[in-house]
Amino acid sequence: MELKIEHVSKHFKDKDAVNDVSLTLTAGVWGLLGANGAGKTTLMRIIADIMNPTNGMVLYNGTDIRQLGEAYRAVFGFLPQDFGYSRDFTVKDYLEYMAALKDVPADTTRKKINELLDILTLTDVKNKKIAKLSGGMRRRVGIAQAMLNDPEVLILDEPTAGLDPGERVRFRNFISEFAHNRIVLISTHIVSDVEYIATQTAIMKNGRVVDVGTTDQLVKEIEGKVWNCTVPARTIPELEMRLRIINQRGEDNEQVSIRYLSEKAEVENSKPASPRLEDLYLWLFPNEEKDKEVR
Amino acid sequence: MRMLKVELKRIIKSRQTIILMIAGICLSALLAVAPILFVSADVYDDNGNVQELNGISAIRYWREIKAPSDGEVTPDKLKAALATYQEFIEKYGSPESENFPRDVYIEKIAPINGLLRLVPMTYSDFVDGNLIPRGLTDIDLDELDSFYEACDTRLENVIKVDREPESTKQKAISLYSKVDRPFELYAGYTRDAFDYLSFSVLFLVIIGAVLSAPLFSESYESGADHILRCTKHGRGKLARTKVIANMLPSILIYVVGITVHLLISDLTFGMVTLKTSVQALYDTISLPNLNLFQLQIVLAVGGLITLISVNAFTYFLSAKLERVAGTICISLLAVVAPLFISAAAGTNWVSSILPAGGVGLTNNLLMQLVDFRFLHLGSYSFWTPQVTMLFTIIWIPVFLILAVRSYCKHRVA
Repeated sequence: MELKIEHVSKHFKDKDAVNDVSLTLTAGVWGLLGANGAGKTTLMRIIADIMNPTNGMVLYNGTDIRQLGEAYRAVFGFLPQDFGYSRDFTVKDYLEYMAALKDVPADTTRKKINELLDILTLTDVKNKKIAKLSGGMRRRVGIAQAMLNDPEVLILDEPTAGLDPGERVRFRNFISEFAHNRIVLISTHIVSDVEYIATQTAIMKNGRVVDVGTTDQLVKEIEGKVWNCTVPARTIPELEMRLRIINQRGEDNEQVSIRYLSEKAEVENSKPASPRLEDLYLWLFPNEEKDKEVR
Repeated sequence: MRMLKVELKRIIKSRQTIILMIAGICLSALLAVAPILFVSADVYDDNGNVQELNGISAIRYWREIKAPSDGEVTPDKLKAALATYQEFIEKYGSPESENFPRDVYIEKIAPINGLLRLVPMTYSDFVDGNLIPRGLTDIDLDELDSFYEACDTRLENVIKVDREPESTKQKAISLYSKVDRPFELYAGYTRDAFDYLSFSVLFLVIIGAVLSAPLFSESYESGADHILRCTKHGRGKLARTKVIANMLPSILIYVVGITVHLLISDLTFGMVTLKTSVQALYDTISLPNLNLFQLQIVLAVGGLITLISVNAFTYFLSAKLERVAGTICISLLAVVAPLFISAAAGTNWVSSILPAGGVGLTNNLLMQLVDFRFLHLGSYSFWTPQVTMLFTIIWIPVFLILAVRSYCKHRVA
């Protein structure tokens, strides 16, 4: 099982959203990390065959997905970044509708829907209108529809947006289990979502895939660039001006423990820390630090 | 079938469909009731006091008063009617004058009004190249012996006055030769009632367009399309299913709406009235060989075909445009375009060949049928109702195919 992205580019009038991306996805969970505007959503839309690339093609098991058409869509599941639905749908009606479109056998549809509602803790709201649900619940309905046909290729764009921490953990476990013998590609800002479950992660920046590998392989690139130290609280404003502080935690005696990124130790008593995927992400996308603080 | 079922369930359960369904049926009923309320009659009681009747009671009153004239419009009947009229005119002057006794008018003139109306329009004089209807007192009774020949002559005179080409003349004479004679006249139905039937058709077509507009645009606008078109049946099959599923409630609303309208109308004005010839209610030289019942059927079926055609056009727009509001605006513009074009340019090809060519105010199918309207192409002449309906039918498969193709080819921008 292989999904091959071959020299795919997408040029818009004023921007190269995806620029000569080549990537071969095999069975397992794949993370796709990148800042806003990195080209993740565009790449996912091309893989979903709802957007034409300017150049290149996507091959599933060696055949162009556009050529495969219905056969590709039969084994495909997709949750876009913005989950759209008809406003009058209840959760159950919507999933029944999607099951018909996905050609899920009529006799197994109810069982499949109930199973997914149970896993995604949506059983209690199955007769409610989707429009009346919270953002997290709506997102879970989106995940459910994507998985209705047990897809071999599952593409999830920001699937955990709006989920609470407990839901995110449940989602990660579910996806890990589901990804056996399937290709699951998850695009996210939330690094921890893929850090624990992704067998491979691709990092996109300015329309290009700048790095691909396992979490261990990727974080090696910033070994020796992540530092921990404890500083007086009053020095924080000055340190924030010159360092890329990615975490700070208040300690006793007006001291603050900080974690920062730098080629070399910049503060006295700094000790090298074990790098994590989030450190790499922030190293590559410095502008995301503010977002992270908000999160 | 499964997809059709879920798609139908989706459409029928939507608030918009329910609101439009109720609106369509209520509006049709109201438009049927309106012309009934327009009918009025002043009745004198035994003490000479005037009592005004309105609506159903007025219709009953007039039907009763005019019943003696019901039946075939024969020259003898016309002669008798004109003789009565001329006799009382000589005695009391114009029926509109205050000197004309109301009781005499009601007893003698009102019952024959329907017959008298046919006479002046048929007997006209050429004055400066125009046809001027003659007054009822200027017509000799013996002239009415050849009433139907006079109808033929009038048709030729109208063609002459309108400077229509020979091909129009041939076509018109050929159509008119098929009209059953003698005409039949049964008092009751009014022209207003048929105008309002046309309004009903127009509004139901508009409701159909509004119901059709979101078909594809809504899913583009909400982003649902990104998911739908990634599914196994999310392209051609979904597009075809959506079209069929949307068409069914539109047709249902139309059929129920028109049925309600006609039931209210026919039961009030009287079923027997429907035997009246189109020529007896409108113009003695109206070309279709129809009675009022057949006219209703033609208008209802013509409206249904127009609805399907406008819906097909709207589906195409919906498959092309990303915004529901834009689709609704353009679709409604297309529905009213023939109305404005024909108001500005008279009978013309453009308004006749548009999908909504058969609905409107002065350009609707009813007006096209009862008026004398022809289109010309080189040396050929075409009767507008035939052109309008032909193109309305042609657009249906054209726009349906284009809609499905456009949806399948649609890509995320």
